[in-house]
Amino acid sequence: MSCRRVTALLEAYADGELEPEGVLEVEAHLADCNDCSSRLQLEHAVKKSLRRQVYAEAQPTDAFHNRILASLQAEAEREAIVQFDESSRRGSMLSWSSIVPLAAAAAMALWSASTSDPGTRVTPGKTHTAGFAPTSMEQMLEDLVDRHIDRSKPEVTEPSLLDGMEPEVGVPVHFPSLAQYGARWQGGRLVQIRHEPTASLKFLVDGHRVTVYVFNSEHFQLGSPLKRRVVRDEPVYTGWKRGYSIATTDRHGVGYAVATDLGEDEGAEIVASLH
Amino acid sequence: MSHLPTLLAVGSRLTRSNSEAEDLVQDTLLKAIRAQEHFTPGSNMRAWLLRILTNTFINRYRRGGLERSVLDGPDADPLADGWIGASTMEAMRDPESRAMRALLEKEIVAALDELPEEFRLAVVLSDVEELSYKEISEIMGCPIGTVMSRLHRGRRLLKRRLFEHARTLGIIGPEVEVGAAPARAEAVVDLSSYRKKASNS
Repeated sequence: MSCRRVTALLEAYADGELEPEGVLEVEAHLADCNDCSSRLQLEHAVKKSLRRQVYAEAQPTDAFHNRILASLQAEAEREAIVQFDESSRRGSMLSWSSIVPLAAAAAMALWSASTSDPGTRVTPGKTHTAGFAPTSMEQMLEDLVDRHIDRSKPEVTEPSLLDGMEPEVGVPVHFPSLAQYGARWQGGRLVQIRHEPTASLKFLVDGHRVTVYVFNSEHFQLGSPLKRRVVRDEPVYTGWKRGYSIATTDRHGVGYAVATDLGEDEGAEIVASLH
Repeated sequence: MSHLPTLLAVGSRLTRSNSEAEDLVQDTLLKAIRAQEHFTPGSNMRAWLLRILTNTFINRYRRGGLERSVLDGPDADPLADGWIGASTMEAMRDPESRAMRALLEKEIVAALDELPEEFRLAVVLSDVEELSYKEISEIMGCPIGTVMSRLHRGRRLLKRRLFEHARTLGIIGPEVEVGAAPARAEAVVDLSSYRKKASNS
C-alpha cells in the first residue's frame, strides 16, 4: 500500500472509523513507514492539543454556573406549574403549596388561561336542551348545582392566589373568609356556568357544603324563577334546585351566588355578606 | 449540568466569543428541558444536547445555515503531498505530552477559529468531543461523506496554519517547503477573504 493511499485512510483510522480490513492494511504500512507513523502521531497530537486548549479557553465561571442554575430553576417552576395545570385538568391534585410563591404570578396567568374546560364537561343526568339560548336562569341553576355537587379537587387552596382568576372571570375575585359563619375553606377552581368562566369557592359550614360563585353579572339576568328578597338592604334572589338552596346577587357588576344544602335563609345571608 | 463544560467549549468555538457562548448554552439548556420528551433514553445525551446547541446557533445567528467554506477549489495538502518530512513533523510535537509543542498549542484555538464554521464545527465535534461520524452527521444535518470531507479540509487548513506558525517561530527550518508557492498564495487569499466575509456578516 502506498503512502498516498494510507494518508487518505489515516484520518478515518485515527478517528476509529475505518473498516477492519482498512485497519489491517494501514497498520501493516505504519509498521515500516516512518513518515506515515509521524503523520499519524501528528494527527493525534493535534487532537490532543485541541481538546486541551478548547476546554482551557472556555471554563465555566462560577457566575455562569449560578446563572444557569437560576434559569433552570425558573424553568422547573414554570414546568411544575404546567404540570399542576395539567393534573388539575385531569382532576388529580398536586399540592399548590409545593409550588414556589415567586412563580405564582406567572403561574396564575397560565393556569387561568387553560383551565376553562372542567366546567364544560357534560355531567351525567344533565341535558342541554336549549343549546346556547340567552342565559336562561333555569340552566344557570342547573350549572350552579352541578358544579356544587362536583367533588373535583380544588385547583387553588391558597386564598391569596384567587385573584389570579380575575383575568379569566373578568371581575375581581377576592377571598370571602365567611369566618363569621365558622366556615372552613376547602379550595377553589375555575368552572363554567352557562359557558362563562366563573370562580367556584368551596367551604364547609357546620359540616354542610357551601359553594360560593363569583362571576361577571353582565352575562346573567338574575330573576325568575328565583324570588327577590331584601337582605341587609341588598336585593337577593333565592330559590331551590334539586334540593339545594341557591342564592344570588349582583354587586356593581360582580355576580355572587351560593349553592348549599343549608336552608334558603342561610344561603341568602351568606350571599348578602359577600362584597 | 454535567454537560455544561462541553456545551460551553463547543459553543465558544462556534460563536468565537465566550459571552455569546454563555447565552447560547443557556438557550440550549432551556430548549433541551422543554424538549426532553424527544430525548431517547439510552442514547447519547451529549450528542443530543450538541445538536440542540448547533440548531440554536444556526437559528439565532445564521438563518441560512452554517457559514460555508469560501475555500473551494483544489488546495494542496502539505502532509499528503510529501512536503513535510518525518523530522519536521516530530519537531512540531512534544515527545513527553504527545501533544503539540507548547508554543504551537497556544496558537491552536486561534487557528481553529479561522476555519469556516462548517469545518470548525466538524473538527470540534470529532477531535474535541470525539463523536462518531454518524453522530456528527446527525448534529450537522448532512451525510457522513460530507462530514468526512469537512473534517479533512478543516484539519488540513488547521495543520497548514500550524506549519506556518511553526516556521515563523523557527520551530521548523526555512528549508522546509511548507505550502509551496501556489498553495500558500491560495491560503493567504482565501483566509483574508474569509475574514472579510466573517467581519461583514
